[in-house]
Amino acid sequence: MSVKGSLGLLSLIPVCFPIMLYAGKLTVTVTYTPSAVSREETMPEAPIKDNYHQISALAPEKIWEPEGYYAVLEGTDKGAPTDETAYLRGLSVNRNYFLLKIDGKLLLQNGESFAREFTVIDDTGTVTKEFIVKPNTTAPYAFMRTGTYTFIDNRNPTCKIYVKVLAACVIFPVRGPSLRIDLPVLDPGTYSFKIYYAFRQIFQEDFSMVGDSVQDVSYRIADREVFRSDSTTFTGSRILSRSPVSDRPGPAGAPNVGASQQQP
Amino acid sequence: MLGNVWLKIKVFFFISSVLAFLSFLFFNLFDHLVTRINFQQGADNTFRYLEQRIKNHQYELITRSFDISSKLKVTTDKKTKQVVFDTQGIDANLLFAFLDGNGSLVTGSFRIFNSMAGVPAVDRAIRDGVASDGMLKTEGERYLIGVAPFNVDLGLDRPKRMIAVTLVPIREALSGVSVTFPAQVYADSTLLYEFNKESLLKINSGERQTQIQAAVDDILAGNAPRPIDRWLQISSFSLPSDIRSAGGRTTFVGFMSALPGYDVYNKSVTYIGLYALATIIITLIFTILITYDVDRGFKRLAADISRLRIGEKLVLHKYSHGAGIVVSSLNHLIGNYQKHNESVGHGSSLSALVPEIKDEEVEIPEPSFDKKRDPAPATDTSKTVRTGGTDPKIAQPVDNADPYAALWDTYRGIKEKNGEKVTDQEKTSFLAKLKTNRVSIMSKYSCRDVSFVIEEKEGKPVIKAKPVK
Repeated sequence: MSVKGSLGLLSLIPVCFPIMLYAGKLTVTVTYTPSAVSREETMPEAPIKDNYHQISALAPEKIWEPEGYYAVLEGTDKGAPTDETAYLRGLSVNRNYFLLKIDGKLLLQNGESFAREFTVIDDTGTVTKEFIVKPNTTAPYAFMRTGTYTFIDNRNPTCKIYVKVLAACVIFPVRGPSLRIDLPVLDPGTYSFKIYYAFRQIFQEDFSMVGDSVQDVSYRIADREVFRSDSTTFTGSRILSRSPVSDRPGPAGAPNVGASQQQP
Repeated sequence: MLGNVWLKIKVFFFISSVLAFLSFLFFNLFDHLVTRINFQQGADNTFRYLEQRIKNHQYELITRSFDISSKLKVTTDKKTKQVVFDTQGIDANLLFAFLDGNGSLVTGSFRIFNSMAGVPAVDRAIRDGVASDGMLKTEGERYLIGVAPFNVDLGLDRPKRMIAVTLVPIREALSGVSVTFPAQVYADSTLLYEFNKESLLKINSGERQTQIQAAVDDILAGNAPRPIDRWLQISSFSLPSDIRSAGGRTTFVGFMSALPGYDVYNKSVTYIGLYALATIIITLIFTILITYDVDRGFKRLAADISRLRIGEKLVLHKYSHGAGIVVSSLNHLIGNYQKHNESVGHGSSLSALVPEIKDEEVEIPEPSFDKKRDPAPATDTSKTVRTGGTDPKIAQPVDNADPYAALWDTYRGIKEKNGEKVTDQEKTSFLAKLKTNRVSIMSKYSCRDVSFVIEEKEGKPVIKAKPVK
């Protein structure tokens, strides 16, 4: 092949593989330390008045965070949705809040020897479906539309499951003490990185990927607060943070809206 | 028996009316009393009693949970770290479960659940370390539960929390309770237990069944109870509960009927029919009894009239049921007829028999000592003897001492002349008769006095009276 021909082929590479050329790499590490919650936080809307006698017998034990954390990257739709599993045990469920990407599935795993009947209501209050999870089986429920869904156990009204379905994002459930997210090919553009506890957004950071930049960031979750504990590495190109990054996220409460900001 | 039909109908109608009126009054009185009975009070007290009964049972279940937790033996194999839970010291008849700190079943005789997480009493034990009670519902049963948390030493660095649960079905808890009226116990809309089922079946049948069921459904839907009618009321009471609790809403429904069993429609119809039949039979019996006596009296009178001879009169007090008036009238008619016959001869019209007051002469019937006489041919040649009246100015008595004695002498003389025996008793009766008739004639004709004369007629003495103005 002549030099001229070789140059011609090389000039075709950016045309045929533009992503390869301009995509960046993002690596996010989230570490999680389980922390205790107050009793009030785990109680239903109001105390259940079904009893006549209450006798203090033992000192209350610590209650660990019953819900899960989610890391959500908004701005990209790449990646298959991750399924979540709700373990139905006794008259309740192991967790009440789930975040799912559209087309994702909630797997309801019934560990009891009796059936569980659920009514599913969407955020407009419309009953979308009623279904039964047979004894000792797992029933999947797929979500085709965004919104918030409520699963009500027909026989045990205390047992409710809330599912929020998001679109145009990638959701990473934080299931262990450490979560590492590797996105080797991330198109240039603007993204939002959010962390949720149940449905509560406790952290948000917006950033832009420019060219083939590489970013490696670390976050630490403790007591429903998020701390950024990384050092940003720039390789080749540059990465632009659209807003000052706060390593002191606000306390658990109302979600942060907009750019990364500190809660008052 | 079947004669005098109209009289019988009248008597029957009269007695029926009286009985119907009395029945109506009785029914109203009964209805008045029944509707004023305060059913509600009894039901309220009973329901409070049932509530206390359940409370006590639940408290007992908590203490029983503590009791079984003390009897649980936990051993840990140091090598394999395997933990063994020994429940042999616990009564085998008890329904119990031991749970771990998450509510998952460890051991026990109650194995319907693999985990009891979500049961409010268990959650309270897990979260707050509190022993409490509550309810639990499964597919076909409702349970009262008592929950107690406790710690066990597994040889770890710290004791492990466990939870003891004891249960008893609600129907079992209520089985020893005595309730005086029919009642049902519902968990949500599921029937758990019935008190006095037989009585309830009687009430809850017939045409009101639909009404009763609708009222019960209404109560179970959370509405206030409503009375079915004035005789049947439904009362209800719900145990304090939360819709989110695991036992659902427990509701007692009581049926307060004033006439348990009698208010069934079919039976009511039967009883009303029987009552009406009994009334008709009683009325018929009384009608026959009454009309039979009347019939008999008039039949005797008719027979006597048919045997009556000329110059004879009927005995006044021989007949009953008003026939005496007829006899008196007949005798009067006979007397007038005889008198008129004497003065104007035979063939006079009936109107001529009616005397004017001025010339009135009333023939007195013979005293009741009249007895059977031998038949004798009638004659108009009887001797008339005027013996004088009771008024000394008018009458001219034979014996000035006693005008009645003179009359008696004349009377006796006529009888003896005709060969009849005269007794002293007859004199007494004769004199009494005269005095009685004198008074009655004086009042009837408004006269000052009455003069009596004795005449002989067909060999018989005839007494005639004449008002003196």
